[in-house]
Amino acid sequence: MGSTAVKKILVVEDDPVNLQILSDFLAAHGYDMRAAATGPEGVAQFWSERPDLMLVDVQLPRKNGFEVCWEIKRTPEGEHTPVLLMSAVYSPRDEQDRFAAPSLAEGYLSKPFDLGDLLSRVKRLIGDATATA
Amino acid sequence: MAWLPPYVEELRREENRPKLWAGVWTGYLIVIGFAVLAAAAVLFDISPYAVPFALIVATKLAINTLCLVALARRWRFALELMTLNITADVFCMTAGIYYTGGPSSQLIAIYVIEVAVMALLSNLGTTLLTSSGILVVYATMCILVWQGVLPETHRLGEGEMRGWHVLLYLVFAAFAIGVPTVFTSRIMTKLRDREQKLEARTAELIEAGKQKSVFLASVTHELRTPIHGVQGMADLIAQGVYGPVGEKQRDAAATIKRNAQSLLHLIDDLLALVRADVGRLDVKYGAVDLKELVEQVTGSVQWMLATKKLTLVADVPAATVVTDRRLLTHVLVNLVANAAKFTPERGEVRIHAHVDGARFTVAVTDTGIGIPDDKYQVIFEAFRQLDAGDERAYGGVGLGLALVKRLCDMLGGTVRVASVVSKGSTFTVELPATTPPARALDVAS
Repeated sequence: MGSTAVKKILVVEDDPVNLQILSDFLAAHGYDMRAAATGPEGVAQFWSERPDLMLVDVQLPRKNGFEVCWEIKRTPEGEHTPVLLMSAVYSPRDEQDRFAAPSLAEGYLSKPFDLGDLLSRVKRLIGDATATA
Repeated sequence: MAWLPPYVEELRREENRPKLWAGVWTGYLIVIGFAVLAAAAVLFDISPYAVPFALIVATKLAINTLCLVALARRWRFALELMTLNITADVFCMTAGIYYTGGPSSQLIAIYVIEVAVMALLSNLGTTLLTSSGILVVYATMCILVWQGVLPETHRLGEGEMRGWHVLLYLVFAAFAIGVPTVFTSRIMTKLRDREQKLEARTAELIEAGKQKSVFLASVTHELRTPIHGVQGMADLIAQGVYGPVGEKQRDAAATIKRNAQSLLHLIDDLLALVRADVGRLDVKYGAVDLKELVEQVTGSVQWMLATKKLTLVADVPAATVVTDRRLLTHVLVNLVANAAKFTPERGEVRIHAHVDGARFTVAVTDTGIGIPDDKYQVIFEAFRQLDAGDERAYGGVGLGLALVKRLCDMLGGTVRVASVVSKGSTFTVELPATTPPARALDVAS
């Protein structure tokens, strides 16, 4: 496509502190951040903002992260939007991606995650903030 | 005054006073019984021994009343008087039996009443002592009669049986059966009540224990979330996301993160222990690369070792074992952190692993303060550190080793300790290196 627009990331997370950490961190690395605090709000923002990647907490009020992910992934527009699920449920690394698979998500992050690890996963999926897609 | 056997001595205690009182009141029942007998002897001419009966009644009445006064006034030797009273019972009853026909007297049933009352009021030792005394005194009486030392006596109502004799026998039978019945039923009712109360209380305690564990599990989970926030924010500050940072600020942020990390470790331990208690901690078996796991463990406690300038020596073979990776990590992190905590600066922590067929061992050795032999058990109990004073010096709540033991149990293994005070300790974890048989079946199906 050759677009050089800044990559947009939508964070769906109900904990305000965690939301701020994720937004500030990724914004500091140049990404354009959008935030939603509930599942339905996250889905609505997906349609209005059309982000390049979504970070979705599993334990969300009203509509959980798996549902949000599945709802977006089943549409032609959302099919190719990478989604990373996040959860405080402890699980060893080799199990994490297996956990994410049925919901079609690209990956799973167990809280608390290393911010550097998060950044490298984001970069692997959508590249640097201003890199051409 | 310790001349009484301990089981009798025990009746001196305050809570046994009601039993002594009951003994005195029963004594008056015996007095009344004998008085009725003496009166009947005189009035109905069923026995020629009115005078001996009167003497028996007088003796028992005197001693029993002495006991009553002693108990009421709390005399020091009240218990001694009570034993004298029982002895008097045995002699009076035997005399009563002698004067109603000797060895074949109908009155022999009163021995049974005495023993039954003793059994219900006192304890096994006192009861056995009383029954033995009764046997000895009765046997002596029999022998004396047999040898002709004591003259033979007349049985009650000897000769022609009359209608009112039946009445008398019935009254006596009612007395002989009634007293033990009343005593037994009263005591049994009391015991049943107490049992029910205990059962209800136990059920309450079990329920409260469960609720506590469930509560703790949810609280610890809630505690994690804000700590993640603290860690994340400290990270962002250290990385300069909120503006340029100097070296001191970066160090301070790193300290915040490290402290949050140890708080998180503590909460994880607590959570795991509580889950193990509630039975919610599942064991998930899988292939584990021992060397890689130990590297991960030492990596996560590196900062603890670094702070105290401890040397870490790991001697771990490249081997794969089947166990629960998460639980084993928890065990080893705790053991290494424990070793680091109790080892003075510039000491050494060694990790040695060994796989031997179906089992493998991991030993963590330190050059720390050591543990005295008699404390080997105590250290594996939750919330215990050896010396209450040490708590300040070494920090922590003494949860780690309790958790290690619980987790080793769950993994079908053991943890043992060998230690020399002020030289160091070695904690050795021994676990199955293959899937346990029950699990193997699960996997196969």
